Amino acid sequence: MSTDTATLPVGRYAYDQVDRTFLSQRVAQFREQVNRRIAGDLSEDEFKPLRLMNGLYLQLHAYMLRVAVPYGMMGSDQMRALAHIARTYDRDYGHFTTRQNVQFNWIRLEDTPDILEHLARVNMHAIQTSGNCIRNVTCDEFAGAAADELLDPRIHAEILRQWSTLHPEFSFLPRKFKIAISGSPHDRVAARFHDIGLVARPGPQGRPVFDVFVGGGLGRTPIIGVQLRDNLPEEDLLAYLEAIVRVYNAYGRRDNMYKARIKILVQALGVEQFREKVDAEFALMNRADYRLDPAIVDGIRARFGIPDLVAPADAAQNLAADRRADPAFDRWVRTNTHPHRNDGFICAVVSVKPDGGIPGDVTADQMDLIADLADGWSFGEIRVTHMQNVVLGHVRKDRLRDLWHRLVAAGLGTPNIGLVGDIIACPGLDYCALANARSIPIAQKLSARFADPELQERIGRLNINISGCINACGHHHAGHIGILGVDKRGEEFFQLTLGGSAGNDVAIGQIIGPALPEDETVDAIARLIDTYLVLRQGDEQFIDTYRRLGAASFKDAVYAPA
Amino acid sequence: MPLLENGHIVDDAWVTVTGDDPIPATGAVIVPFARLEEGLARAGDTPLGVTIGPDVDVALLRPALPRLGLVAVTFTSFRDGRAFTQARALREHLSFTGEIRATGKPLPDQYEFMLRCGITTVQTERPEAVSVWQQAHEIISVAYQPSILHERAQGLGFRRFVS
Amino acid sequence: MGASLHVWRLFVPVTAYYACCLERIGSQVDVRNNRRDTTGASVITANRLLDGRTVWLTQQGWSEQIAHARIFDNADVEDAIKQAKATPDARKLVGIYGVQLDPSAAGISPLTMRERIRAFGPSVHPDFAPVEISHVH
Ligand code: HEM
Ligand code: SF4
Repeated sequence: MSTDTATLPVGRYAYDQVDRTFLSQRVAQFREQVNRRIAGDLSEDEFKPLRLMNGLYLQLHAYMLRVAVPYGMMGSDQMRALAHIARTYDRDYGHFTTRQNVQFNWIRLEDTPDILEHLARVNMHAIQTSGNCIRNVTCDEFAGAAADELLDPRIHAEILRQWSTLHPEFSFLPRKFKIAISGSPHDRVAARFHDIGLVARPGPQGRPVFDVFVGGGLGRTPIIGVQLRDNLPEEDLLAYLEAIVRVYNAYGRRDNMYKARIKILVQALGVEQFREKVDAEFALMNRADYRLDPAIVDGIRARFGIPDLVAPADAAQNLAADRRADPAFDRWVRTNTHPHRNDGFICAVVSVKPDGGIPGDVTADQMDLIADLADGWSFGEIRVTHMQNVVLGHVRKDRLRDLWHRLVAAGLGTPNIGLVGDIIACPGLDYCALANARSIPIAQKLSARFADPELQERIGRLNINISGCINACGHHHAGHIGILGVDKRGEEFFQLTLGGSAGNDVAIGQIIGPALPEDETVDAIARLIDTYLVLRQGDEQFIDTYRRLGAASFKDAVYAPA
Repeated sequence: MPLLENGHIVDDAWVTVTGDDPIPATGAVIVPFARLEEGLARAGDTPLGVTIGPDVDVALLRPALPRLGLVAVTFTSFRDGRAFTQARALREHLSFTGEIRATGKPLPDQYEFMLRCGITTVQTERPEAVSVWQQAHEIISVAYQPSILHERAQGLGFRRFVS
Repeated sequence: MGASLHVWRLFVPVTAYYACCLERIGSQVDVRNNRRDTTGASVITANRLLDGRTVWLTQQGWSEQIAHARIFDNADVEDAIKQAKATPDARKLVGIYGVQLDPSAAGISPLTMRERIRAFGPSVHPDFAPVEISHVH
């Protein structure tokens, strides 16, 4: 086992030969399953769960392949492989999702084994990006970099990734199962909107402890997760999660897929009874087998590359001077960066939401460029965010302006992070077989309408989240303004919700009134935002104005005759 | 219906009693869970097995377990994964060492999962050749989590070689 | 657009989810799409197994272009779907179902936005409108 950190990929786990063997076996297995399907030995019914376990959906126009980006971390080599796949097997682009994955929309079933083989060459895969299993574990996009972080959650995210990979007991759960993990007191992972949310912090003897939230979720029944355990010791992490998922596997509903998520079980039993069951399982199990020994954790940690953070002493001063010299750059720094734990560095958020563009869509050329920029500015490390953007985690402050120039030239420098233009949108009816309405055109019209960066900054923090149907892939319940596509007699309508939030102030948005026809939706939201600008006190943010005044103050604006 | 063990077809030494059919007085028989008492009431220690549905709490078998040589778990559909948890609990919590048989409609692609949860035999209605099951068992040699088989650890984390 | 049309459309929200990634009724088609008016006309569609592309039943095989689709009176379409499912071609297709046409549209155009997007490609990428490549045989 190599301990030479220079050769390890920064910010993620380095595969070794055994891991690579596993991946190539998995590809061979899928190739064989595809062959059986094409030969007619497997029916579509039987094949579907197998292809879903490899991230392959059948959508409106073609198959869609969802590639896992474990805890949102990837390297420049991996990004280039994605660009290659986009060019060779798709239509020159990919889509970054809120679950930190990448989707390709125009895939052929017969190409999929080759694509997976290509991914495997850069230690990537599509395992468990769909299906009723434990999905890709998501993580804070500023992990290991943020100034406000207490503990880097990626090591444990990797441990959970490995543990859940082809788990023999948990691959045919009642429904999908999503885990998120954060190591910051500022929740950037929506921990309480996950089946299990883990918040880590340092505990005794320098070992982490975890607060465990369970039973959160969006979809047709949005529920905020409840705390099941606090201060769970690291060594019990796997045992405790095993216990939770076992209880879910045994008791989760299987008669009605809309009621099959763990959130429904927790609600049905009540948290006390659910906890009793988990504790009983936990007490009964052979804990030694599942003990997460510090040596195991440290062994995994040793496979993570660590960036060598050396910056000139005047890096921060240089940045300050650059900002004074260029107001446009200064604005971008205000909106698109996050403080780094090292004073000479900063986290840069690359907006993949140009004004009027398709949120989360990235062309093959842009992928290659992001890979080059990551090599030049951030130790080859790239992060996909749950807002469908990209983060370069460790940029030297005195080199930030150069980076910005390059981004702007490539259309990747829109200064809109956290603002009106930073819209989350699911693929909607333009691609998705389950959709009721198109999400993307609404996002495009809104972001074009509010393109003026000055106006965006004046409006301030505002998350607009759009889902094309009640499945809520676009997190509409968690948006300050949520937009949900509904189908009325074959026509597209949109229902607005207000006041949702995914952070520490977690809340589920409330429906403001009847759904609006497609051609009135954007105007209604514009009036809503105008009303907020009139009603706000001082620098008050939209969400705070809404909380102070309630929905009534906005209702007239939304339903005013145009 | 062929019976599969270690990737091979084997003879079935057990007679499965279904519905209200009379339970033979001698020989190895598998009775439905609802008729377990009746099975246990048979004279002598003729081998006894029981078939459980996916909704049965295996802890209910605890008193009978010393007398049982076989527990058959049921995959009502290959999507219903409860049998995995039942099998694993039988091994891990109840230390059951007899045969655990998968019945119903599991897919060959689930074979490795079954084995790692403690299932030993599969009674299948599937049309696939035995070689498909055998291949499903052999194609992947690495696993990433503990199992009741206590496989040989391999390097990092919980990684192990499955054979 | 008569009153009977109104009735089938009311079913939409309840049944929509059985479609794609979800289990339950497996490979059966989204019920929503399969609901048609008793009057009017329909075409028959599916996705190709090998590449997932949307195809339409023509006089002789399947085409990527809805313009080439064979039009069925709704009185006959159920039988036609059954027949299409029974042909050897069906093994190379996923989810065969009928799509109600918009009587007021110029040319062959489905009534619902969903099926129009399947027929003509994503509205946000006019450049990806389907082109004829091959037939299924
Ligand atoms: C296009 C193909 C997609 C399909 C068929 C699909 C399907 C679904 C379904 C059925 C649900 C509801 C699950 C439930 O509540 O039981 C769901 C939830 C979700 N999906 Fe998707 N989805 C797709 C794309 C996406 C994309 C592109 C994203 C990210 C932008 C995404 C992220 C999520 C999230 C975050 C949730 C809700 C969180 C939860 O409660 O689990 N999905 N999806
Ligand atoms: S929210 Fe609905 S429309 Fe959007 S991607 Fe999810 S399933 Fe499709």
